[in-house]
Amino acid sequence: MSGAAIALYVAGGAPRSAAALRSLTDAIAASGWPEGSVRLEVIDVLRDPARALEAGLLATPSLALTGARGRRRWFVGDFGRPEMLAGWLADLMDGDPP
Amino acid sequence: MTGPGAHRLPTGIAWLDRLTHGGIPAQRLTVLLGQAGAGKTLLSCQIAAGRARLSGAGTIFAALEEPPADIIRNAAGFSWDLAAQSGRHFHALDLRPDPDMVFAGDFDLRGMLATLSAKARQTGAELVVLDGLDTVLGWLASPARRGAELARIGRWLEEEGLTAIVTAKAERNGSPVDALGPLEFAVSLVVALERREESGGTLRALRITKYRGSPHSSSAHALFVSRHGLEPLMGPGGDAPPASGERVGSGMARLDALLGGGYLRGSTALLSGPPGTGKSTLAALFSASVCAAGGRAVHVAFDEGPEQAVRNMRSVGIDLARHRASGALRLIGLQPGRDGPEQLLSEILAAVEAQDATALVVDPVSSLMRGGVADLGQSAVRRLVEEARARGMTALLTSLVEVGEDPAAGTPSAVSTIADAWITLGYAERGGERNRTLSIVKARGSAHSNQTREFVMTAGGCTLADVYTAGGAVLLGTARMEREAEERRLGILASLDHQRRLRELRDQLAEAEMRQRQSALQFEAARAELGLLEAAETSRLDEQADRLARTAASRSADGPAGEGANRGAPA
Repeated sequence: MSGAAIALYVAGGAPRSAAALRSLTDAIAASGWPEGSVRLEVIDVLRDPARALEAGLLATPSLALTGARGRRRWFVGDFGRPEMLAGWLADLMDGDPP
Repeated sequence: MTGPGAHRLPTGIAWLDRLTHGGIPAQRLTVLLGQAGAGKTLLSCQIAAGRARLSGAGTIFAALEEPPADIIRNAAGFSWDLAAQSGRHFHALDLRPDPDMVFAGDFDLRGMLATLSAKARQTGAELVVLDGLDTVLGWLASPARRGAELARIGRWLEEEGLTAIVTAKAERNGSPVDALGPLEFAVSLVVALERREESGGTLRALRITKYRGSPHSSSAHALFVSRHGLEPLMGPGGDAPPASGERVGSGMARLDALLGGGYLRGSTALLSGPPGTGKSTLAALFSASVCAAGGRAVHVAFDEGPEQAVRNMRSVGIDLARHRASGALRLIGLQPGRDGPEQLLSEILAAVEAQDATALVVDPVSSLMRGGVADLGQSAVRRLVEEARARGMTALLTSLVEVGEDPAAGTPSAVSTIADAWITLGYAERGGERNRTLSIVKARGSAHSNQTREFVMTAGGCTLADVYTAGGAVLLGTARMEREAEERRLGILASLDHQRRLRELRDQLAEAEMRQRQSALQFEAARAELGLLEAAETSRLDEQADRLARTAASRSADGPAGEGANRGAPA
């Protein structure tokens, strides 16, 4: 699956931000996606609020996943339940975004 | 409180600034609570428009629930043009969450605040409306987390120098739903809005439930929706009507005379009476008179359409069509009962403004009060009167008194207490005939006649007939004319009688005088006779004595003659 982009919006180095990033990288690794098949961008909205405005961001941390078809999906929270994130990424891998 | 906390942002909405003693707290959080349809979004838009008008300041409107396009469309009917301000002073931001959004774990609202900061920098706005924040806060797991996020918003406002208004749904009793958590800590001002549908109309109310560090009025204030948005039904109160000595003609010269020159400009007169007593006619006379004198009038006719009103008035010689055509008169027909009093009030006020009216006629104002909620109706009328006073507009309100109804109760009395003048119309039945009557119950600022007049309507026009009192009762119509004739006849009789009596007395006097003169003559004659008699007797006695003396001397007699001799003897 090429062309998929993940944007993780965090607010500075808040504990929730770090936890979210850790959960996300773990989930991507566990999903077995080939290296480089997914673009991951971490956006600190405190440094770059214009990006938040652009996305119409409501909460942090939030993850925006844009699939190949350009459909954007939101995942809000610090991934306290990483298995949900993993399942979602797997569905996306199958080319059938939820 | 000192520092920024004491600083206020005037909302540009006069009544709200009055209730809050100067506006919403600057760089603080204000919460508008209420059920769906209570007017939270409306009031926030109204404040945004007010701020823009007041200082040209911009507002970011974060739409978290309703699409921004809907909000702008819903505001289209108001005097503040949100669509025109859009992009200049009003910056709507569609922040409605994606319905497919997945939640996993904890989060905070720093993302939203970053979005808003960016927008504020972009637009230079100073006010942020978070419309429907409860939906977003509701995602948070616990009340404590919600409270913490509200506190975060509060800190962010201070850092950014922004002021925020949050709208949120409330329970029926006006307390915030759980989603808002403990408002006491994070929020400086809480305004509860209420809306209740009743059979007789929509009751709206506003209450300030909290204003940290500020005096405020905590009582509920009834509201209605005018073309300016939410407005209190009760005006500020205490504002004395402008003291005007100027008079506005009633359309009937004789009534003007009774009122001391006409209605006082800027005053409100109530005209009450049973059906068919001429209320509508007097009302139309007034409207026509105002327009003829160069004024501008709004004439609200309940119960009949404008065309019908024009036709009816033509039959008593009042030409409303002419003034309608010139634009001086705005004649509107409203259906009582179709809408609640607050809605009717709103329509009347809109017409008054559009017409820039100097005079207002509501015929009858009792139609405005019809319906299930008496308080609402009374408040609507009160509001109308206050508006008239504030505008210096002369108002004439008619009020229907049902036959048999005590005019001291019900509509007339409720309005009469606030009206400056009260004229009652009625019928007097006498001699099998009904005649229209008019009397002035009160007229502030006027020396007025309190006597009942007869109100005469003919195709040629209307006027008042002279009052005629007899035996303490005021007489009208045929009874008056008969009584007048009878009085005239009796008067002539009395005059004849008087003249006869006068003649008799004069005769008697003349006779007595004559008799008196005769008596005097008799008296004189008798006295003269008496004098003569006395004189004759004296002379007779003298002669006799003389004769005796002479006889005695000749005879030298003595005895009894001696006396005679002594008497006759020289001393």
